[in-house]
Amino acid sequence: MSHDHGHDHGHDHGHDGGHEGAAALPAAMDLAVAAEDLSAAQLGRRRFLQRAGLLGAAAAGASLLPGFAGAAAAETEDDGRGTQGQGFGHEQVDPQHLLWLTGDHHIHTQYSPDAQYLVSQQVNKATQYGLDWMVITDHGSVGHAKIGVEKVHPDIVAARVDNARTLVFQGLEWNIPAAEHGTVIVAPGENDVATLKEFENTYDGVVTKTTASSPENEAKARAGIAFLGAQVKSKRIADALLLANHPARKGLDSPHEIRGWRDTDPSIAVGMEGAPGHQAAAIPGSGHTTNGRGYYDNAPSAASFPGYPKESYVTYGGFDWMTSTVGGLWDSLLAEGKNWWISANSDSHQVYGDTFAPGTADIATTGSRGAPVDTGSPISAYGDFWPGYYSNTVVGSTDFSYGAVMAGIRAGRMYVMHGGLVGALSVRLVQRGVAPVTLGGTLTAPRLNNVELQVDIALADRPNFHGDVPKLAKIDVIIGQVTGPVTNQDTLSAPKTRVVESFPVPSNPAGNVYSLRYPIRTDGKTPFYVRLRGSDGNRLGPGLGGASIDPAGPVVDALGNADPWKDLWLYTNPIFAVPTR
Amino acid sequence: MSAVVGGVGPVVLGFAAGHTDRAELEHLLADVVQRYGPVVLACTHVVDGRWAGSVQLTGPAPDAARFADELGVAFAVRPSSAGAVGEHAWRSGAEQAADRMRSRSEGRAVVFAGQDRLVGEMPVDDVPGLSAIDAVVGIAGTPTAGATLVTREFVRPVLLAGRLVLEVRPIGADGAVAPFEVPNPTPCCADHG
Repeated sequence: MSHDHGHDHGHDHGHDGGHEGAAALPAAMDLAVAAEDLSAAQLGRRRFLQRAGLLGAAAAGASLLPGFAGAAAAETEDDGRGTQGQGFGHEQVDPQHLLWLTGDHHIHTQYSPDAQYLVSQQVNKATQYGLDWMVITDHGSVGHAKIGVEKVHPDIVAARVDNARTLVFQGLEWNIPAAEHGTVIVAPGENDVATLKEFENTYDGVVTKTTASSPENEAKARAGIAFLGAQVKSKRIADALLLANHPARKGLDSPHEIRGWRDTDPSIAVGMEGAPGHQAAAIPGSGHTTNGRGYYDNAPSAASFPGYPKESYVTYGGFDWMTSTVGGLWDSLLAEGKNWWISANSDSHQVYGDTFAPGTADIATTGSRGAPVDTGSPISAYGDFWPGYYSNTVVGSTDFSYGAVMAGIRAGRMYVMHGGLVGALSVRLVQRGVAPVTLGGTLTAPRLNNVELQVDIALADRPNFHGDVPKLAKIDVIIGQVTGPVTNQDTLSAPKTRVVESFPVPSNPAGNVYSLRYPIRTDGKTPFYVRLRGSDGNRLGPGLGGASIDPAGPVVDALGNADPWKDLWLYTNPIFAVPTR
Repeated sequence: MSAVVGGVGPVVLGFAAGHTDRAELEHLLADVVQRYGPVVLACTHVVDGRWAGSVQLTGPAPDAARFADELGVAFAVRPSSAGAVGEHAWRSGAEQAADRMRSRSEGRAVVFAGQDRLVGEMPVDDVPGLSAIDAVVGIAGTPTAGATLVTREFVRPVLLAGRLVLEVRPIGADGAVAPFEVPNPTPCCADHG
């Protein structure tokens, strides 16, 4: 399934307007924008990046030498595609040579039957709340495939023009046949809408009536992923990605389906939401009393994978069970050496405390619910946040372009966090004599000797959108052995993964940067991966695998009483280390 | 040749008609309880991706063939030497539902003794004394000792390794717990049409 996407990193901006000519960097990273011309938030962000060592070469390289980053990426990136079994990436990108771009790949508008906002409202809010990239993902449906998928497009083009420093992708929330929902992202281009429309008409579970759990429908899901890969290969579209959304919510995404999606085309199906959206759903108050955080309040159905325990249907510190369980399903994929990454998104439909109600147009016949109506009164029953307000997926990109963001997601150069828990984060795995790697990458050496994990975190020092200055209380180092492919495709645990060390973060480190240098003990010849988890320390307890695996992990969220601002977490994607001898 | 019905233990009926929608199966289950009750226990099960039902009767088993015919289901009675009757495709579901109920190995109880006493809020520790529930167990390490159970008038304990167990999760403040299963879970999306 290997194929060449032929990304054109430096020149993807011109499509559909809004990004003509040289890249308009995020203002905080654009050193041509003087400090006095930045907003307080933008200035704060620039200082975070500078303190973590993440501003300088990257911004200069991207804004002044657009060819530099793209060439570097082309030369060094493997993007994790390749063999069906192990999917180690081979990119060797230093975090300091990347732009760490904040985004959200799961956002709804008036073109979804259960959402309401104009595209312009979502993009304006996302920009206000600091996003650099975002994906509009309305639900697949007969009406959307017929009307909505085309009708939303000019709104997106207009939003790109109005928000030159925000990359706005058109995507789809795909009803994956036999399974849950997933985000499909396509690179902007002259065929993006036609490709999405054909994909939706041919492979959406609702449109094709293939949502039921069956081997035939599972095959249809894989065929949909293969279709996307073929469209990229034939250059009909420049790129496409799939990430599974709220994967454990209803027990519908079985382990073998997830592995099947990924193995069908590891360059297309690259990950899942580590944390679902709807993070405001269980804030105490009217209309929320029996809500689960993330609306995780379902029981198993006949379509659910019978091997999933009840514990999988609830969230832990706002995160999905597949990700929050150390040694759980996500780790079981990483332990195979599979590239499978996590994200965190708003799933914004209706925003907690917002005053707008849905428009009254008939979506079935017009493709849209119409413009939302301002009721003048805050509606506390809503359960979502604006894009960027709470959930962030931060992607290390070689430049500021659609193609580079997609390549960064594919490469796993991502960390996710809630509530602005840290200002900026730099992670490297180093061994003398070989190129250092960052998140999603693979350190390779004849033997793994004196491998060191280097972490630099610019701590938050200004209020998040709730008005709190978040305090990072600790960083956990999680290490798992890479044990290779499994024979049972429904494997959902990784017994050789655990929290190996936990580091309290001091309150006022020098320069307000917390630096961790952690030597990883290895036998030199066993491949492993390392990932990080951070917490505000407010809600901690033994993990589902017991205290010996995870002594102080996230705790199960309460129905109707899960204040997301008092339970903040950060998760990075892994870095692999593989001996070549 | 008529099947031998009786022997050791209570009479258990299992039935299945290929439901993928639990609410529809529960309507059928209510119908079964009304026709052939009173029952000690009525459960739903998932067998091979379809919902099936089972009931434990206080009286003798009804006529199997008539039951299958009247309700349009596959039907199995335990203990019995006979296999299920009715629609071939669902016989395995009926048999497995009956077997699971009889062995108390798996099942989700919709009707159980003392159910009508589990209303409002009460100490978790009172639940076994008031009902057929043997134990209240917190999922994911949720503490239950001394906790208040918020029933929401919707209590669906499960058969687990021979016991009837109410799985609970935290709700609200002050360490209160609620049944794992929410009465009206959030639909994934208002309308996919």
